[in-house]
Amino acid sequence: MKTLALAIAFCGCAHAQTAVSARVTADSLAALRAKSPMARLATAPAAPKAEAKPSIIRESVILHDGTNWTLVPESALLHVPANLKHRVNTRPVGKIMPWVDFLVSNRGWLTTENVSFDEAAGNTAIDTKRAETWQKSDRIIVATHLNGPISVRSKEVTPALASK
Amino acid sequence: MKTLALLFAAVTACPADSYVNFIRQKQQDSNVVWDMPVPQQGAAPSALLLETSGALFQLFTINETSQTDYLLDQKLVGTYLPSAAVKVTTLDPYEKVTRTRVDKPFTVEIEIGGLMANPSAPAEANQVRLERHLGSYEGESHTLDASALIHSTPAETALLDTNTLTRLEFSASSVPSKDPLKAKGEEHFTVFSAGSGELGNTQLATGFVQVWPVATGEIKGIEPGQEVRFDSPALELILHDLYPRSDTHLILYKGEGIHGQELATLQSYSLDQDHSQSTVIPVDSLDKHIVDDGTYTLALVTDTVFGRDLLAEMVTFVIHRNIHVNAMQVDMTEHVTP
Repeated sequence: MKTLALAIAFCGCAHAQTAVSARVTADSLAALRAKSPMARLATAPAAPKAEAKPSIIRESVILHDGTNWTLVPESALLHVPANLKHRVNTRPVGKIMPWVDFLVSNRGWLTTENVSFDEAAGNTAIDTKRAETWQKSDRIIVATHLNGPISVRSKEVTPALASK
Repeated sequence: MKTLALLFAAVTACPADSYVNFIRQKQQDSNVVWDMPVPQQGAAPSALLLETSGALFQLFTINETSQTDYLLDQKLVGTYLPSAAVKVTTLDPYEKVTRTRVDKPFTVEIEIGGLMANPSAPAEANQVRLERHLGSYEGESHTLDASALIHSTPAETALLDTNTLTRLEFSASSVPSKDPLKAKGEEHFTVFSAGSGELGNTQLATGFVQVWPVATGEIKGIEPGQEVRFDSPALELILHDLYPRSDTHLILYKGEGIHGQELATLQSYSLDQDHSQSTVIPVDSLDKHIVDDGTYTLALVTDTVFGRDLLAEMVTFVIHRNIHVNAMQVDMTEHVTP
């Protein structure tokens, strides 16, 4: 931010007399601080435990291809083949990409499965046969809803979800 | 079924390819987390159902180079959720940031709306929680991580349970410091939803005030009571923590104290910036204003929006230069006529 400190100036003119305030002391400041106006408000119960600063990286699953990486909500992975586990949840390195761009660039090992909101919320069980089909895939499957990655808390626990 | 039009601002402070933005929606009843498929700039409607306890929308951005994520904004939307607004005002009319001096008063106004006063409704429908956080600037810095501060343990907490404007008048700031008069930092006032879990930690509104220290100073080069017989000494002004907008003067008075004749301003230093400052200034023009012997006083003062304050103890000194003849001896012998 620009500093607008002016150059030292010599002024030979006399100022009109201006009243000088009494200097504040540590004691007078303590007296001013003693009565907080918040004291008259209703007491709040013990606040919820203060959480760490919100972090989307900390609250997500990281996917990376060795050069780029992206993130999806936790519990959004429906299936992770054993030979692709190294692409999941390692320290983010390389360039961060939006989910859509990352998906397009990595369709060789990454795909999506559309789920309804009720399936994601666990209100409706995911069809067992459908879930079995995922296990046969050689690609990582990410649950999506309306083209956006979504966490899944299905009543039908799939092997991928159980392993998390 | 409700849809919510959500506007978000793109990161404009840095080039678009330096950051990647994500909007995350967290449903408060089902705990479903959904990342909205949105472009890096623009607006999009939220397509998920609005649940009873609402949805938390968070806008994050991630720096491509440092891999660091930042929460730019968040909004909690729901059928039971109240609205809140926080406004802080001080004596300083500076428009870029609300600021004050540690020993000066400021006012916090909190306006709450949408509370239901219905015992059967969720807690977050009937009351909100006000938190006061105090943060100090470290070293020479004049910024701090506001998000981290707001999510730390508050200095004070209170409940607000009526749809009204609450006005809190603080006589001074409580930003902590080893020397209370030299405190510098920020006070943040944040309204949170009163529910539990993440909902209880969701802020509805926030406001803050920047706090600067009380300035002090020293007049070096001359001592109180000093008698000056020859050239006046060269002076030096040591100025500590001048208020960001201030005019500081060294004024010469005739006589003792500052109630006598004001002869001249020997030196001035003006500041108009976003942070306090300490500096050293030489003064060498004392003799130009002192003609007669007598008593004089130097006063180091600073003018701010809060008034005129004395930065150091006044220095009263004496000029004693003229030669006074008390007796005279004359040799008359050359004038005697034989």
